[in-house]
Amino acid sequence: MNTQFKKGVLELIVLLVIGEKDKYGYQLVSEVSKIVDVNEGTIYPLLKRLTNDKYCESYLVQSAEGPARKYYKMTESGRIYLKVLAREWLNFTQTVNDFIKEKGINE
Amino acid sequence: MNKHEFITKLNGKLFLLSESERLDIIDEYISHIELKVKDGKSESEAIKDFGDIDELADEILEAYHIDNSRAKTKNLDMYIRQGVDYISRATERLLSFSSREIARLAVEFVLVLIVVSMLSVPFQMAAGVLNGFFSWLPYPLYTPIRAVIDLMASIGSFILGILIIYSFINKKILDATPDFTRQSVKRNSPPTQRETASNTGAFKDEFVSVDVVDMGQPNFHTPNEAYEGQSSGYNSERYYDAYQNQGEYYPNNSKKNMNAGDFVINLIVISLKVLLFLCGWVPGAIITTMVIVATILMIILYFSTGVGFIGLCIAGVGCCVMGIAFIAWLTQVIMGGKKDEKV
Repeated sequence: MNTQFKKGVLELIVLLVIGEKDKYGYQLVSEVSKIVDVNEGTIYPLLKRLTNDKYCESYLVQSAEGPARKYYKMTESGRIYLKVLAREWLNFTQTVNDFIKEKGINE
Repeated sequence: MNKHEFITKLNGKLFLLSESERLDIIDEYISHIELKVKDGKSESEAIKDFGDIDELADEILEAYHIDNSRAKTKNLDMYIRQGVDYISRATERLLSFSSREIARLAVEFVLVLIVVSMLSVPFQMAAGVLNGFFSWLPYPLYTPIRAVIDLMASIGSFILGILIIYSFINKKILDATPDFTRQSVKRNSPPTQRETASNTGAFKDEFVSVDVVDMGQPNFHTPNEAYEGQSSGYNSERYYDAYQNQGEYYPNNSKKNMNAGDFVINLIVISLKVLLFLCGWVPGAIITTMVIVATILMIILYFSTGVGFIGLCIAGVGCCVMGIAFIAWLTQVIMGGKKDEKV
């Protein structure tokens, strides 16, 4: 898939994944890469940005094997942002889909 | 590329970020790689999945709203800022090193200076050959040519020396990874009595194993080696505890087992720490940097012109020792003897 497409939608997907349940980095990355085939390294900077923008926050949990894990949790403003983003995405794809059909390109 | 290399490289590329931010993000990559290895992938495969390291670094910097391309615009202001940043980064790095690492670096730096001075020999020889070539010229013509040739030889060896020292600082200080410990581990329970005791023992042994006599090949056992040795397991918890504890236990050990060699090393280490402390204070940093740069320039210039080799060595060492002793004394007076605390 076009990398620009992926980049644009990545933030939405990450927010959807955290919104469902608190997750630690690796868990989140594996889940996201099931949906979009994205460079795994790029999700961490995105998480960092979301944390800096207060859309999510992180906390540490001791794990049985190995060192503590950093979990990400969505904040209230993150939920609002996710709703806005999801609505925008749906509207946008709807418009684009209609436009594609209008121009007579069908699968 | 293995994990250690990857982290070292990434850390170098993220120098624009503050130390804590850098550790924070690198921490995530370390744990990602570890979990991937646990899932049955190899370290290098896990790193390959991150893609191109330059793109990754740009992406991370972008997340912090740092426009990396701006760092590439060249103007005088930028150069000055980069220079200041370079020095402060090197200082920051040095401050995070342990006493042993600083001692090792000091020895290595002296060796580098010796190598630099030796590298001026071919330049002198080339200048000699060229001078011989032009010696058939009549007297008034020959003198300026000879001066120009000598000057060129000096400048050549001078630039070479600067380049070598620059790469030494880059390689040994900025790219070194003395403390890639998980920040998250900080919140773990404190080490048990037994662990603490064994760590203390380990560090005592390490300190004793410093080879003082054979300065030519310093044989220090640094935490770095411990880190590399555990590439697969990466027992960060133990490593972290060990690293944390050393600051606390190291001075006690050195006092208990003080002999002449240890004493000299401690003296050097304390003096260096005091110098580094001064570097943390802005006017102190400027003065210290100026003095160090001037000394290095003088030594290189002196050696590259090939005059007074041994004399200068003795004078230089004498000056350095006196200077360091004076600063150490001054700081002790100012700080009231708080000298071997974490600088």
